[in-house]
Formats: sequence, C-alpha cells, structure tokens
Amino acid sequence: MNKKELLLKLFKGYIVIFLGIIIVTLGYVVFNLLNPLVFSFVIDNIIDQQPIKNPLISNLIIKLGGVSYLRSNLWITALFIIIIFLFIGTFLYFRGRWNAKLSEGVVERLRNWLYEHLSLLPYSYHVTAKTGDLIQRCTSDVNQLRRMLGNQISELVFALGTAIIAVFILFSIYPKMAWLSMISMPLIIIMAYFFFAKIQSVFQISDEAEGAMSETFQNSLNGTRVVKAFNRERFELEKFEKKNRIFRDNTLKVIRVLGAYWSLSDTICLLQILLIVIVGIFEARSGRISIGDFFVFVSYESMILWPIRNVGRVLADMGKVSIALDRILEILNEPIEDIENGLQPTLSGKIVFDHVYFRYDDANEDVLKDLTFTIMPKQTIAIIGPTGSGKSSLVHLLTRLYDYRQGHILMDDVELRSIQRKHLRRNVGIVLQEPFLFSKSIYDNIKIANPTAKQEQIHRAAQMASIHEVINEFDQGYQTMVGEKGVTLSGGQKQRIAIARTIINSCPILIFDDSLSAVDTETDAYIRDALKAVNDDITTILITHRISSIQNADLILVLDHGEIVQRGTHDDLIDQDGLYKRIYQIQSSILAKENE
Amino acid sequence: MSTANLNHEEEFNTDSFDISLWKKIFKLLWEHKRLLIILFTINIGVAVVDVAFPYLNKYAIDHFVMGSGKEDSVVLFIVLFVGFVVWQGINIFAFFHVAGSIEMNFAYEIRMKIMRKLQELSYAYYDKTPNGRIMARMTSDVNHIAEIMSWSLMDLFWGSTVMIGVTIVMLIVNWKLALIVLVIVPILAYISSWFQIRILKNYREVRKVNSLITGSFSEGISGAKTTKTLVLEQNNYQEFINLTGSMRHRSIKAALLNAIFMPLVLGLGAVSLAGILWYGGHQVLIKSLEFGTLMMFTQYSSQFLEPLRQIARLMAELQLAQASAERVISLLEEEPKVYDSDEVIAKYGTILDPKPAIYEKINGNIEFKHVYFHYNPQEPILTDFNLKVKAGQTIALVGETGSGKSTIVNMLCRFYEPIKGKILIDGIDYRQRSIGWLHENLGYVLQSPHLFAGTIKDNIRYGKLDATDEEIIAAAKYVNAHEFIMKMENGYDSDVGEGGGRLSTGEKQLISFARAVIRQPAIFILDEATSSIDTETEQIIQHAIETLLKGKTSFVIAHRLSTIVSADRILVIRKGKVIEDGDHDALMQRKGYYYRLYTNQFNEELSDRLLKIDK
Repeated sequence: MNKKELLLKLFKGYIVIFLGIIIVTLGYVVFNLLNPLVFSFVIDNIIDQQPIKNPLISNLIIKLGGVSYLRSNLWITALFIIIIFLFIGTFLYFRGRWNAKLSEGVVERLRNWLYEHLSLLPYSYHVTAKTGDLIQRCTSDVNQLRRMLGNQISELVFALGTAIIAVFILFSIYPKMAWLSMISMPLIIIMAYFFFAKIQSVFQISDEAEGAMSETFQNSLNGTRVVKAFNRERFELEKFEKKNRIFRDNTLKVIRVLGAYWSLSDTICLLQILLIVIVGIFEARSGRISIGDFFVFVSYESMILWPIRNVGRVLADMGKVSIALDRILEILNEPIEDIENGLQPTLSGKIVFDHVYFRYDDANEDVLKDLTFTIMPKQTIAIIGPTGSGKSSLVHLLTRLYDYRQGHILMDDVELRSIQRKHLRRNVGIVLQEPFLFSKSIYDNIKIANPTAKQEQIHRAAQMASIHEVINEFDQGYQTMVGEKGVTLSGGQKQRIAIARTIINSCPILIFDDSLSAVDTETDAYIRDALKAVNDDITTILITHRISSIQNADLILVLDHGEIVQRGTHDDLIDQDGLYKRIYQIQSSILAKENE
Repeated sequence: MSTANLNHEEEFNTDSFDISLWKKIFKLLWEHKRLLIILFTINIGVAVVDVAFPYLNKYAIDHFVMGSGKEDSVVLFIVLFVGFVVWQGINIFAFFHVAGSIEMNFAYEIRMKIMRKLQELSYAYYDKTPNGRIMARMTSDVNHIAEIMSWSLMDLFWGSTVMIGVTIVMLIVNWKLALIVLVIVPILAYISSWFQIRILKNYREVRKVNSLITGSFSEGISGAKTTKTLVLEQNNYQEFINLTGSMRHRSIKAALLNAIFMPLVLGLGAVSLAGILWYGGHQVLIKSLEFGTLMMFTQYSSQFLEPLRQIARLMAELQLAQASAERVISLLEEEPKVYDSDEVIAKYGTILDPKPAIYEKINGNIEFKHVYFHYNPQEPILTDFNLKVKAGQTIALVGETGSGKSTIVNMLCRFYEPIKGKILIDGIDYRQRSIGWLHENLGYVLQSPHLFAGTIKDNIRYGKLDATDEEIIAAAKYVNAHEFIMKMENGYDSDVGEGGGRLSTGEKQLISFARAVIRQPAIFILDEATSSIDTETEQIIQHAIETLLKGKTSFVIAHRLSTIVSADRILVIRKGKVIEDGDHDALMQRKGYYYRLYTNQFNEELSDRLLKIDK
C-alpha cells in the first residue's frame, strides 16, 4: 500500500462530505467578502448618491424601490447585512459539522486498522519493536492527520479563496492599488512556510528537554526508597534542578523565536495596511477612487492578510502529515500472521518432536537443534536447563508464535505447521513467567480468556490457582483494579492470576513457562495437584529452575545450548553425571553442608 | 517516560469557584512580581494601539479624504502611524518574551517546590500515592496552571483593557452609537460563558477517552504475547472499537457546540453592525455624524467580539483548571509523617541542607522498647514489641507475608516511626538525632533492586558520592560483580538502561550490593529477593551475602536458607510477635514453626535422604 492508496481507502465514503466542506467554505468566503461591498454601496451610491455602474445591481435597486426610497429606509440595507450573516452562519455551521465528521470518521477508521493490524502482527515483530515509538505513530502521527482534515484543509481553502476572490474584486475596482495590495503576500507566505518548517527542530529541543526532565523525575520517583535509604534527597533535588532549568531555558528560547516571528509578521502586515491607507487617501482625495472603494480596499486588505499568514503554516504542516503517513504505512505494510486458516484437529496431548531445528530470523545459529522426543497424553514433562538453553523457544514453537525451520512436530499425528493458530492457542494453555495483566479488575482479567464464564467458574479457577483467598482479602475483592489505579500485585500474585486466567478454559495441554517461580514450593505443588484433581487428562509441560517441582515428572528433558543433553526421570538422572546432577547438587548443597 | 500514563486522578469538586485556592496560586505567582508588572505595562501598550488604530483611520478619512486636511499633516500622520506599527511590533516581541518568562519561571519554581516537598515526605505518603499521580501533578498539572497563569491571564487583561478603552472612546465620540454596540455585550457574555464551559468540558472528556486509547495501544503492544497465547485479538479489538467510537462521538459533539457557538457570536456582531449602519447611516445622511466616525464604529463593533470571547474562554478555563490547582496545592501542603524536631534541625540541619560533619558514629547496638505500630487502628501490626540486638550481629527475620517483618525493618530505618515506644540506637532514642544521620549510616538492599538510569559506575557511586574509581572497583570485586561487569561492552561505563532494564535480575542485585557496600555502613538492611535466578548466579549471590554481612549489625528479611542458616540469630515473626528466637541449631531442636518451615523448603525426598544419613 502506498500513501495514495491509503488515503483513498481512508476517504472511502467521505468524498461527498469532503467536497461539501470545500463548497461551504467557498460560500463562506464569498459572503464574507460581500459585507464590505454592501457598506461601500451604501457609502457611495446611497449616501453619496453616485450613479450605479453595474446594471445588475441597478436593476435590483429599482425593484427595491429606487435609491431615494432606500435613503429614507436604511433598515433595508441593514437587513441585507443580517441576511448575509444568515448565509455565513449556515455555512460556518456546516463547515464545522462536516469537518468534525470527516476528520473523526477517517481517524477512527485509521486507529481501528492500526490496532487490529498491530494485534495480528507476528510475535517476532513485537519482540524487536519499540513500544514508545509505535505508540507515538498510533497517536501523534494519527493526530497530525486529524488536524489536517479537521481544520487545516478548510483553513487553506478559506485563505486562498479569500485572497484570490478579493484580489480579483480589487483589480476590477482599481488595478493600480490592487497591485500594491499584493506586495507583501508572497513574502508572508514564504516567511511562514520556512519559519514553521524550521521551527520544528527548535520545538524538538524543548520537547526533548521536557522528556529528559520527566524521565529524571520518574527515575527518582521510582527509586524513592533507595533515595531515602541512601540519604540522597539533596542529590536528587540537584539532579532534577539541572534538568528543570535546561527545560525552562530551552523552552524560553522557543518562545522568543516565536515572538520574533509573530512580531515581524505582524509588523509586515500592519505596514502593508498602512501602505493601502496612505495610497488610498491620496487616490480618494484626487477622486480616482470613491470613498466606498477606499473602504473596500482597507477592509479587504486585512481580510486577506491575517488568513494568508496561515497558508505558509499549513503548507509546512502538510509536509509533516506526509511524513506521518509514511510512518503509519510502515506499520500497516508489515505482513500479518494468519490465525484463521489451517486444520482444527482434536488435540489429546500427544506431541511428537522429530529432529526439530529452529532459529530466529535474524540469527545465523540454531537455538534448538535436533530435538526428538515424544509426549503422551496425560503426561507431565519437565524441561530444565540454564538461561539461554532454548527452553522458552521450545514453548514459542508449541504455540506457533514462531515456526520451526526443519524437522517435524506432530500433534495427534497432524503437522503443527498446518494447524490453525487460533485453534492451537485455544487448546494449548500457557502461563508466562512474567505474565501481563490488563488494567482491568482482577475479575475481568480472569474472565477475559473466557467471556462467557460465570462467577462460580471464575472463583473456582482462582481457587485452583491458590489466589482466591488473597483476592478476597483485598478491600474490593475481585473488583480490585490491577495496576496503577489499584493494588500493586506481587510477582507471585500476578503469576497465580495468570494461571487462573489460563485454566478457566479447559485446555488439554498446559505449559508453565517458569510461571511458578515467584510462589513458594508448597503453593507450586498445590496448584499442580489441584489441576490434576479436576482434570486428569491434562498434558502438562513444566519449564522450571526448581528441581523440587519436577521430581514426579514422567519425563525430564535437560536442555543445554539448544540440545537435549539428558533425558529420563528424576531417579534416572540423579544417578548420572551431568548437568541435572550438578543443578541438583547446587540446590541441595546447604543440606549437604549440614550433614558434615 | 511512557506517554501512556493514564491519569486516573481523583476528581476534585469543580462546581464552585474556590477563592482561597486561587489566592494561594496567586501568591505563588506574585513571587514573579517584577515580570508581572512589566507584562501588565506592555499589555496596556498593546491595548492602547489596538484601540487607537480605528481612531487613526477615522481621522484619516474625516481629515484627509472627506475634509481638506493639509498635505503636510499627512506626513505627520504617516510618521505617527508607522510609529504605532513599530511600537506594536516591539510590544508583541516583548509580550512573548515576558509572558514566556513568567510561564517558564513560574512552572520552574513550582516544580522545585514540589520536588523539595517530595524529598521531605516520608514513606507513608508514597505508600498511599501511586507514582503515576505524583508524576501527573509534576508534569501536566503544573504545565496547565503555568499556562493559564501567564498567557491566559494576560489575554484576560488585554481583553479587558481593550474593551474598556474601546468603550470609553466610543462613549466620548458618540454615545448613542456606542450604546448600539454595547447592548450586545451582556448577551454575548452570557452566551459565551454558557458555551465555553460546555465546550471545554467536552474537550476534557475527549482528552480522557484519548488517554484511554493511548493506554489501549500501549497495552495492545506490550501485552502482545499474552493476547496471542490467549487468542484475545477479537476481544480486545471489540473493546478498542468501542473506545474509538466513543471518541468520535464525543469529538463531534464538542465540535458541534463550537459550530453553533461561532455563528452565534458572529450573528451578534452582525446585529450590531446592522444597527450601526441603519442608525449611523441615517445620521450621516442628515449630516449630524462624520463619515469617518461611522467607519470607526463598524471597526470597533467587530473588535469587541474577540476580547469578549477570550474572557469567556478564560473564565471557563479557570474553572476547569481548578482541579489541577487543587492537586498541586494539596501536594505542597502535605505534611511529612516522619520529621525532625526543631532542636534536631538546629543541630544537624535539614534533609536538604544537612551538617554531616557532626554526625556521631554508630556502633550498632539496637533496641526496640515497647514499640507499637499500626497503619490503621483496627489492625495493629506491632504491639509492645521488644528487641535487643548487639552490635555486629546478623539477624534473620523469618515469617509469612504480612507477619510484620517488613514493618520492623521500616521502623528501624525510620521510614516509619513507632506510634508508641522507642527505638534506641547505641542507647539513644533515634529521634534525638536527624533522619539524615541514620540514613547516612545505612546500607540498604531492596528485594527488587532499583537502579537509576546511567552507568554501572554511577549506580555504585550512588552509595558514596565522592568514591574514587578504585573504591568502586573494590566494592564490585567484594560482591563478585567485577567479573560480569568487565564482560560488558563498556565495563563500568556500560549503561544500565531505565530502571536497570538492561541487566538481569541477578546482575541488578549484585550492583545494589556493591552500592550498599561502598558506603561502609554501620547497619546493614537486606530484603532478600525471592524471584528465581539461574542456579549459578544464585551461588555468586549467596557468596556475596555471606561476605557482606560478616561482623556487621544487619537485619535480613530472609528467604534463602543459606542466609538464614548462617545468621547469628533467627527471629520467627508471626502476627507482629517474635514466636521463636535463636540460632539455627536451637530452633531446629525446638521442632516448632521454624523447623516446619525449614523442612518444607525441600521436598520430601530430600528430607528422606537427610534422615537416612542422620541415622
């Protein structure tokens, strides 16, 4: 997709409104410019009683009762002003209404696409993506487009429309002065364009200084306990003062630059008006223009100049919108993961690994090498090994967050790669080591995995995860909010809520990716027993550091550098020299020491 | 910093205008009175020119165009006009300069005040206030108030000056025409205030939904793995669509209010313009009004609209900013729960301005004497708690979560103070010395160690600001951190990332040990980590802890058996009481709570083996 296609897709169904905005804006321009003409007419033709040159108008006047009738009934011209305004008001109303409809509708569409697309991007994308940068694209870049649609386009039409039509009218009145009235226009537009294009970098310095200040503050706030315990209050204050000062000074620089621009462009505009006033005085004195014409010139000049200052600015902003669209497209053009297509076999828990190799896209070395093993339904399999041995990669393969490079993985004799991702993930429940909880209530966090779950089911899942009592001790029980708004949960509590969330759907296969590390051994055992008691058919895969958790496993695989270096039951393995025995000895060394 | 910070703030009541609150804000603003006075002067200058321009035009028309003003006085007119233009240009520049200075300096000062206050506040405040709220006060609330107190306030002043000036000139020149213009003022004022408050309220709603959308994006991205493994894509998307839908709905509503308000304002302008044309035109016809005067009035009538709208907007803004002002003032007025008495401050200085030269040395004898403590009266944590610790002992505190062991440590560190009773350090009530004195002598290691953004060296040096590089390396070597540090790309100058994010948990712990060791503290506090670290790092940490605690008065909230076993004294805490007290052997023999806890840490099989060897 390129920018043009994106815009076409976004505007689909909004073209009529878009044209409508341009039309009402032009209508606004025309009627806005009529006002001074009515005044001028009153001045010249009614009060001063000059002959009417335009046959159309003179016809109209005759129909209205003639100049002398209007002279004694000035309310008719006053009514004219009101009528003009009624048109202006109507145009303005529709412009505002349609602007909002267009910009909000288009932006809603874009936000939804972005969100949907992001959630469908493969896991590998999210691992390398920078969260802050992505959010920036989804929020400020989208807002850039919103401002352009909601405001700037109609502002541009207004400014250019006013300038062109007004200049045209001025030329028809008195070309010599019309030329003069245009002198400063290119200067103002160019000045504004370069100024607003350039000021971006100055703004950025101030933004960065503010970011640095917030960061310093946040850092110190997060470390409050350390600050206090180490008696570093003054140190932190001085550190913050420096960033605070830099922010203030940098922003002041920006404000000064802005001040210089506005004062300069105001001065230019005022001098331009002054020029027209002075020339107008001489021309009117010599009778080359009427007083009404003089009035039109002076009025139009200021009607043109103030909006024209915005043209340069809008043009500069358009450049920014173009960049923003590029950044948005970078996300939308990333290929997404297919979660809908594939086979949907019944999964019993039988898993066969047959010489499986896997490497991450950007790596040139396999993280899993030649894995061959078989898991039978209802079995408990444990995987143990040092950090970086490939345990988590193995879990990623089983849920198709990544696909293997070589070999076969069969689930109930179906090649894993051909199974629908959605189906697979609904059947393979996985609890991550550092589970992510959404900022909702605890209740909703558990329910999220199964929107139709009843309260009893939720409570039962929490009981099995040994977290029910803890939740009930909170003031608001299950309605306690997770995260900043509510309680700060400990690592173990988060893990147990994540377990409850996972087991609320009865998955035939459960994977614990070191997800009981933050609960004590007793609770660890309790949870797994409770699960077995409810459903004995579950096939469990445990990844852990804890020897004590895995002694009853049907099969223990010891991974090292992506290879299975040992396999067997606990009793087999403690009699072999190797990694397992070493880990075992380290973990029980205190006991050994005790016995000397 | 995450921009996704959702400002879920407690809502203050914004319905009634709180005068005493704004008085406090103005008092803070008045600290910049020199700038304020300059700004008001400039403002008057700008307003005078704004009022004068239409009058100049009138003069030009009546004198030079209609009348027979002398050509040479045109020169004077031009000079005067150019003078005004230049004057206005300078004024605008000065206005930006001074208003900007007020905004930035005002914000700067309030931030410093908040920061100072935050340094004084004790744990009690931080335990009940989420960081996000404090952050919001420091950033958006302060920015909001500063902006209003500078630019908006000046707009208000400018608007009022222009309106007063225009009114006076109009009344002097032609009071009847003036009344035609002035008659719309009350109507416009009413309409404006009705609309502005609604428009601003709507925009506030929009901003709220907007921050929810940002939050959703942030959760969608950082929770991607969870979303995928639980197949929540559809679910989350539905929720998101609801949010964006309500965003569109509210934004359009806010825009519609604006779309009605603007025509109304212009409509009133048109009415007064029509009135001027009708009545004034007639006066010109019967020659009782100069032509230029009519022109001047048409200009004034439109010039009246802008300031009036500004004033209405500002009144609405002030009302809505009240919540921000309230939050900032309430933080500034927060009283610390733990503070030094005046006598102590006189002797030892304040936290921010201490006199460390006279700090007494601590030997490390500690006594809790009849200590009572609770966070709320219904749930006493410590009741008549007594404990005597000899200098140089290592005390392991063992017990379940909520047993009170963290409270004991918090009390000892004077993060909280006893509600009744005393804590003596070397025989003296620690409240007779300053907080700074105690903290300067503490070596403190938290359960989840917080590192500051910066290099490893910076983080170790945090323990002793004037430490040399050699001291830092020695401290790192002491806790066995040197080896992994040297393996990093830039060694001691490697960046640890925000909150130490680039290091593993184990590495962070080792750095936080080094940071405590370099202080050579008199009292060591260690809250042991529970989270799992791979087995080999675990061994290094165990070793580090053993060397760390040797011969120092230390309190350990212990989870590792090795630490507990080698402690001089183990206190088993339950419901705020010491239920078992002694060394490992003594407690094992009692076959009580400790015995059960100890044996439970290992599986049955290991215990079996142990018993077999025992036989």
